Amino acid sequence: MIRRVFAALGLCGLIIIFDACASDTPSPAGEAGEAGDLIEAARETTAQVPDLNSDEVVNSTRWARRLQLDRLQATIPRVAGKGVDGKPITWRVNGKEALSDAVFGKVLGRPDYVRQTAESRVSTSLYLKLMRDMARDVCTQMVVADQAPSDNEKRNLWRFAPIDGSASEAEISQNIQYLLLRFLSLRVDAQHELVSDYREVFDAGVASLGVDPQSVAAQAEGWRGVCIALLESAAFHID
Amino acid sequence: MKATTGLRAARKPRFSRRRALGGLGLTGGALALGDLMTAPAAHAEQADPDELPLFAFFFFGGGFDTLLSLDPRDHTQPEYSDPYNPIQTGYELVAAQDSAVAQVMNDTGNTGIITPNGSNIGFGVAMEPLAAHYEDLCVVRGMSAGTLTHSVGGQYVLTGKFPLGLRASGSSLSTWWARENPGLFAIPNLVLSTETYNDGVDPRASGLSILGYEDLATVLKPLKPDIEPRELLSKALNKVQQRRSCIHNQIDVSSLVSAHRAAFAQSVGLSSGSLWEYFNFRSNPPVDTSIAKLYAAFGIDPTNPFPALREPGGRAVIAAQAITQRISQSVSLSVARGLDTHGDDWTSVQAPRQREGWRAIAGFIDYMKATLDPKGKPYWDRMTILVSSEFSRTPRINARGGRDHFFYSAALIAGNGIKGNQVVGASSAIDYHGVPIDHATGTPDEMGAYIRPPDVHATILAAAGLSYEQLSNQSPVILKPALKS
Repeated sequence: MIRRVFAALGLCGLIIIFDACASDTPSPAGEAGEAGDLIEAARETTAQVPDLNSDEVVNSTRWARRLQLDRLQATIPRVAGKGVDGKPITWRVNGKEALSDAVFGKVLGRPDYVRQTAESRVSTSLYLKLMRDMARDVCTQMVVADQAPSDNEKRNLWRFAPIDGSASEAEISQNIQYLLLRFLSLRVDAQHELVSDYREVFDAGVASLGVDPQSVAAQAEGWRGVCIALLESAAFHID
Repeated sequence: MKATTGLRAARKPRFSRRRALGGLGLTGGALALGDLMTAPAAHAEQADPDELPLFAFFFFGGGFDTLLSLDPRDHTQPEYSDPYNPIQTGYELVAAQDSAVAQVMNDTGNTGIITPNGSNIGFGVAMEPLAAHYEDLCVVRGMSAGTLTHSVGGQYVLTGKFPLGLRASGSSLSTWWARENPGLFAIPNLVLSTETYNDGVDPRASGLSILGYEDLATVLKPLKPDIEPRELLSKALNKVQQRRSCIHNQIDVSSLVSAHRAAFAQSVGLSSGSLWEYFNFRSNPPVDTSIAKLYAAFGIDPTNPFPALREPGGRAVIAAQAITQRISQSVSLSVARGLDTHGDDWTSVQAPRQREGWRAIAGFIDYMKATLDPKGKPYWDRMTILVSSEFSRTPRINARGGRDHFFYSAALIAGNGIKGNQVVGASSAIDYHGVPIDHATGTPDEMGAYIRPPDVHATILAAAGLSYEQLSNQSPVILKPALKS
């Protein structure tokens, strides 16, 4: 009950003033639960870091590169959360971890340090074809998992926008903002272009099933679409 | 939460002009993306895919024994059959284990050198399947491998540039070959069980690397069709990936975002399933289909093609289909593995595995000659092939009954602009080492230089009318005798 109150206060007080292209200070995030704890921790350690779009240059120790397969394999359960069985969601094919060497690891170029000592850090068509498959599989698992709990705070995909047809425009935007933070580590305000971009995906997903847009199935497909788009995006794979 | 939250928050813009660009709603990336996305259309207007030169690289993995193939010696000569001399053919040892080699020895008067009528090339006992193509073939002998290390040697022949430590330098030749018009092909550069590299070349020319035909279903079809988004959502998903925001500008170091998008566009084509029909190798295909013709050309049993498809010949089938269906401009494939015969398995393994590889190459050439492109010309007219290995094997048999790594190797080139039925370069009659040659004449010259992989690469690129500028820091020298004109 107390957590619900805090969550409601957080929702009401959630005004994201940080614009990735033209703002000054980071805005607070009121997310609760596992992701919120991590965000809180990150805020504590990065409080002195300049705004994303400030003129202050932060020396980076390395160039941006595509995720290594090991990092990707570790990242998926962290962004996807737990499945309906309570275990971390991973991408599995025929019962095996898909990014392991037993399935796609070698094809995707994980080094064996015998013939191959380095992993390509550029997205290839094969890599992205399999990432498309991964996104569909993982997001479908997230949709199934989110339909189980009755408490929004335990949901990872539509935490701020109920899919029973009662979600307001503000809640949908807020949920997109939340997903951008969860998947891409980007804090944006509701007017940011990324929110409108992914809103288009959400709307297309809702409409794609050809059923009542307010139905649970349509709304869930909308969020599944946003999830897929985020997992396919360059900003997810290039770090 | 993504594990790199803290790091992402710490990455800040380096240039204040980014804010201005973002504020104005203009992004240089969008312009660059526009250039990238319209490039295929622009090229399509200028280049005819049915006029472009084609390329196939065949790799023998492990270090092939050139005494059995590209650089044999006459077994009847005492200096080559004596086990105590620097060059020991050992053909009798192989023949004792391999009936096909025994037959060749018998047919060649025990010399072990196959020389078809009219051929200026002597082929080793394992090359019987390919020898009939002598008119097209140019054998390069005495090529310096530059190394005795598998990974280094493999990367050197693949890129034509000596690796940096264990790290490949430059792009694979097949990637370089496909770099100018990648937008005209669904899979510009198909790679089957070899390595592939892209160093600064159009990302769309990067090799699509698979291990064998079983991977094709994985690559060319959705893994789970039942969870595929419907059309409306699918279009929205494709569209959103082409949008460019300021975050993409932030991370687009070395054009990684552009490469990601180009690859994403290609992956959509791969996932659509439309290419699968060309690689749906199944039993008993209809007789008038390309797959049926491939089975016939490569001697594959149409009632049960799968065992053969897993062999080197199977990879050649996939490569031939990719070329003749105008899906790929260049292909790279491994046609033999496990040739690193340091032990006495050399007598039982080396010759048959090489023979299967040479047979696959012969089948590929035959199919290229027999199949006409939309302009009515054989695909062979535009095809260039390169065959090589990391290095070769010692001319002397070691104490374990096998052969070790040897510094001087050989290669085979053929096709577009290459003059066949000849040997360029040479190895010593005494110790099998490469000899310096005059690159202008191809004949031994003490004042000349050793043939190296970049020389071979530059030669075939020049023969096909392509630039070899990526090799400039290797100082390549064209093998002029290898050129038709």
